[in-house]
Amino acid sequence: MAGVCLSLTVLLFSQAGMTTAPASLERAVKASFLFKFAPFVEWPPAAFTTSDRNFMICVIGEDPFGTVLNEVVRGQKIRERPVSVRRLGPTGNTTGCHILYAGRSSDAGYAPFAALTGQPVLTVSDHGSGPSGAMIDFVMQSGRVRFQIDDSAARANGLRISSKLLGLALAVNRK
Amino acid sequence: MTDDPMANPADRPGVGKIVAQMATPLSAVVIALLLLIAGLAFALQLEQIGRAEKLRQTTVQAQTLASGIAAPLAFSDDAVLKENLNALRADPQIVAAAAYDSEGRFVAGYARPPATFPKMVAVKQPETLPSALTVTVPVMQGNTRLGTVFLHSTLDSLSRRLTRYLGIGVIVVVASVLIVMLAASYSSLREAHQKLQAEAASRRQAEEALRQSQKMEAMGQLTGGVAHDFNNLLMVASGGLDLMERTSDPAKQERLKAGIRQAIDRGSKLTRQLLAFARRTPLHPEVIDLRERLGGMDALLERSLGESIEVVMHLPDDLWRIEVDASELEVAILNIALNARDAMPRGGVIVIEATNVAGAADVPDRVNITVTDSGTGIAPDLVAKIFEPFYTTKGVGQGTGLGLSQVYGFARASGGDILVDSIVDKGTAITLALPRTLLIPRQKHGSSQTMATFNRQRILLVEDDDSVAHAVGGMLHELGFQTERATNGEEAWQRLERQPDFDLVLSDMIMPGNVSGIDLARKIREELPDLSTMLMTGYSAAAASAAKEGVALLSKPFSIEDLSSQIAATLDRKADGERRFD
Repeated sequence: MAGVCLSLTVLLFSQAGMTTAPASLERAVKASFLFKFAPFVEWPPAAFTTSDRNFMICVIGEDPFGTVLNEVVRGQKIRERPVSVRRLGPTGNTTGCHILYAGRSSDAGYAPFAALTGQPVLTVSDHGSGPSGAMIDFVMQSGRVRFQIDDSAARANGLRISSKLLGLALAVNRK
Repeated sequence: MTDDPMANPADRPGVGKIVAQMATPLSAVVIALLLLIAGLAFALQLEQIGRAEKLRQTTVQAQTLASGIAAPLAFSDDAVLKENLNALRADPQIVAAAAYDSEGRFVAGYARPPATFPKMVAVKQPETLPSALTVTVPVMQGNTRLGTVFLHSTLDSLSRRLTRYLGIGVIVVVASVLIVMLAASYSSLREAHQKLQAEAASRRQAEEALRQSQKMEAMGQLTGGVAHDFNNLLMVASGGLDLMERTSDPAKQERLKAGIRQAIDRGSKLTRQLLAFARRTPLHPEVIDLRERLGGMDALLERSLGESIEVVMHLPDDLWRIEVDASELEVAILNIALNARDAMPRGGVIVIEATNVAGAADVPDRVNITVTDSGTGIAPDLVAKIFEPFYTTKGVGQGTGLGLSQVYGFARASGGDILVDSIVDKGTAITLALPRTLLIPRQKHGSSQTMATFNRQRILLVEDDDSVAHAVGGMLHELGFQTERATNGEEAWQRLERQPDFDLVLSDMIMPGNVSGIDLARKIREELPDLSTMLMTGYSAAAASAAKEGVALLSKPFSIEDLSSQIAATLDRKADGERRFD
């Protein structure tokens, strides 16, 4: 497989220009990635014991995706479960979330990941602008969306990230 | 192609024959064709297996690729995707490879012209074209489908595959050619064999003809002497009868009667030997007593050799028996004697001598018959030639050169040998060395000389010739029979139909009319089985057919004693048969 440093192409609209991807395109790619991380991550069985049959992608803080994310997951299934999107308030309950994307927030006490220590929730954020401490951080490099992974944090929370995904990450934090 | 069954008596009608009939060029071609078809089927089967194997291999390649490109495809990492796809370029048979996203849209791939990849793809069954196959497999991660992989692989080119099957093809063709060649050579061998057999058969016929002409040659020599002799015998008989009519002295009459009887006996002996000679029969070996046989040839030799030649025989009592064709032996001895006579134009003595010669380890016991003359002899360089057919030193019309060749043929056919010992101007000794046999001669019916007396038994005499009928009727009457005469077969049968009140039917064989003696005998045997029949004839060919039918036969001329003993034997046999079969 590939090395650690890889460039990501904005695949869906590759003709749209490599160097200056518009913000809307960036959001669409991120939304797509957010959903596509799921097949490469293994949740512990305990993560699926709740009565809710859905595979839940939660968004907290400022939502950059809007309807794009809903479009991406429409009709999709992860582990035989229909995928749904839930947007949480600043102090929203993360129970039932499998993936939690934390957008930026001007809220002073904004620490969306603090309550999730030990919980099998894949946390995703934007490097720099979003809150720190996410397992996967989106990074913009040469106008393309890429990501880096904190594998040890994921492991600590009982998630196993596929080596295929790790292989594509810009950087992998292993302890 | 059928085998002459007579020519191949050893052939068993088993597997060998079936194989022989099967091994025609046609069946060989059929076998070769079958072999070719089998080879072709085998190649096709291999081809099928090869295709299935190739499909499996390509599918595995596609699946490996799908697994490898799952992440780069999902996260649009073009470089990694291309790297993975390009790794397949190492396989020259994969002419096109492409990856598609989950919507079926083309993402990345390559194709070597003229191969192409589709712009859109859906997962479907593998497609197999004559020289290529395409495989599409989904790219799955967990249960989520991330896209599709498309592979287009060529099969081995036709020439490459043909090269692979060339070995098998060569073997099959060589085997087929071999089979056809073997069958061809076998059938030509059979043909040659049949030709050889046909030739052997025609040769046997030629030899048969040669033997017959050799016999006729001897006959010719014989006839001159015999005709002259017959005239003398007839002279004695007719003169004797004339004298009997003129005298009434019983003693003189008795003497004349004895003379006539003697003349007739000699004449009948001569004719019997002549007929035995002329009989056209294949070699028919029988166990004979040489002393009796050669001793019985005295009259024949005397008559054929002429008065200037004296024949002396030395035949010991304890001669071993030999198994040969008796009449051929007589012809051979006569031929040697005739040559001996011709070697002594001024007359002389011919010595016929027989001796036992004990054999050694690998040489069997033999009996040597040596005919010695004191004639001109044969030059050493001609000794080997005298047995060749048509070799003769005699002038035109005097000899055919067949005489000694008959002797040679007879000796070889009898398992014996012939030796020539000759000194020019001193004489020649020709020795027939014939192998000894330990078999015992067939017992002859002891002809009792005592005349049986018959108690008024009834005989139907069937004879067309009045004088013969008169003579035979007289004899029968003398023997005490009551006789009735019919002049031909039809008349005899009508008489028997009216009332078969006879003990015996004595019939001539050759008669005018539609019913011959043998026909009459057959009819009687079928419809009146209780009635005995006996035939009489002076014709030897007819005698042979009578013997075949198993009818008692009396050869003309016969004496009253012969007649009496034969009738007694026939009636006895009938009685025996009835006792046995009742």
